[in-house]
Amino acid sequence: MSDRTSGLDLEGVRRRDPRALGDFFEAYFDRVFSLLKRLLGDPVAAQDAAQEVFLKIHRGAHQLDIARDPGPWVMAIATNVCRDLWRSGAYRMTATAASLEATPGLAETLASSARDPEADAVSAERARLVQEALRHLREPLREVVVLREYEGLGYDQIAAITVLNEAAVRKRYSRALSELGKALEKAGL
Amino acid sequence: MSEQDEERQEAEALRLPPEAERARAALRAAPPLRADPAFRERLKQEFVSGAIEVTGSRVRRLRANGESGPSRLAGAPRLKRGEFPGGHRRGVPTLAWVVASLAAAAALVVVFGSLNRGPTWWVTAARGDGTVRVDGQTVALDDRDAMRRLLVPGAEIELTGNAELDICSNGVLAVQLAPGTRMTLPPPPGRWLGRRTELYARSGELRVTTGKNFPGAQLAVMSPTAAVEIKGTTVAIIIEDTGTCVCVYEGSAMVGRLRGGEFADMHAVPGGMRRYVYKDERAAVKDPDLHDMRAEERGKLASFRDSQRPWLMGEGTAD
Repeated sequence: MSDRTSGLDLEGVRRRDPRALGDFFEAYFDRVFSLLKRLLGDPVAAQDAAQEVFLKIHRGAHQLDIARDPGPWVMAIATNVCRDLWRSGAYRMTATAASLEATPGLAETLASSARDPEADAVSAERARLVQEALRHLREPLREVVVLREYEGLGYDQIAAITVLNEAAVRKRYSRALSELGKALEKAGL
Repeated sequence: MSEQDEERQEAEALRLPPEAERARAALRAAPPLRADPAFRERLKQEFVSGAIEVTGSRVRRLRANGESGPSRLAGAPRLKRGEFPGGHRRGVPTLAWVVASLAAAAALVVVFGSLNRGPTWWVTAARGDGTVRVDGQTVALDDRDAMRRLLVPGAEIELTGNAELDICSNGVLAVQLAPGTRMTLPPPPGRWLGRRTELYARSGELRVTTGKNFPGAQLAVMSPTAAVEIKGTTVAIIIEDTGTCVCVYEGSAMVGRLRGGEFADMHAVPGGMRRYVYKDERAAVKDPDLHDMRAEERGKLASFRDSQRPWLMGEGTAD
């Protein structure tokens, strides 16, 4: 169990105790939202998905295994919600319209690391291209690379979340990086 | 692919070009993407209080309602139907479905209408040396092509000279028009719907007999004075100066008076009998003037029915 979640009252979460639920929310919301936003590429869709994730958590709270780290369970719920959205026609329409404007935080964050305006512009453009390349990855590949790169999950944890075997996860991860690299090369990065 | 191959592929994949490596590093370095604080706080309140169970999630509501669009939790404006986040619009699916449904319904109506339509009228026999006038056009009795083209439901037919014409709707009805007859050709009864049809006779003599596909249908024959309802029979309707004589050869027919366009004084006339509907209404309403059918009609009707038998059985051909 990670530091940020080690002090959680999981028994209280199972009982849906308001204080325990509040702590649980604080422990996981940012992580969940960040994951959703990167997977979906759209803040509005990420908000919708976040609400769905926490609804599922609330409904399934009594099933929480207090002996285990709830992180993978929460991430699995978030990943499944994204999969549901990917399957929906509305999301596909939205995804084609998504752009870096939908994730301004990334560009700003990356850009702010540079100090001079020229470097800022280059950094922002690079961030846009990287985000675009990531967004154009096929969803099963994007899912693995985001869980690995952003959530820092191990192959075994990703395998548990995506219901794949570990070898398949490694394969997808390597393929995702390969495709990402080709796309970025094509984009001139 | 073996484990070694997979590892090699992964290793190769990890040796990305420097630019891609830098991009990946930039992504890794990126801090978590933050949510709108108002949304975060609202969702937390709903989660903690359990209100989230009541409000549900928009994703679920969208699925249930078949809607799509952005979240309104963060105060985002409600989009119009068919509008999607990112400014894209797609065609309104409901309208497309309505148009498609209407087109499909119209096609079904057309197909059903054409299938429901009874067999068209054919000339089965023409005798005499007069002519036939159909909707004002004079046609020679032996001009079957013109006759077939002109004998459509609603056509006004008038026989001149001593022309005599037998027409049929294959398997359903046969009508014999004696010299001097003027009538409006009815549409044949529909196969499933519109099974009632009306024939308007203005002068002359008509002989009508029904075929094997007629049961369930109804033919109303209206002369200037009489109304006849036929559900399966062979009858003669003879229009004279003093009134209309209806001779029933077989089966039975309801015969009455046409009064102000309405059927009145209707009585069943059995086979072998006739009813005379006088123009001046001298016949008592409760005591219809029933008599044995005219002797000459017995022979004419029998002969007519026999001559039409192949068509009445639906086995005849156009010519």
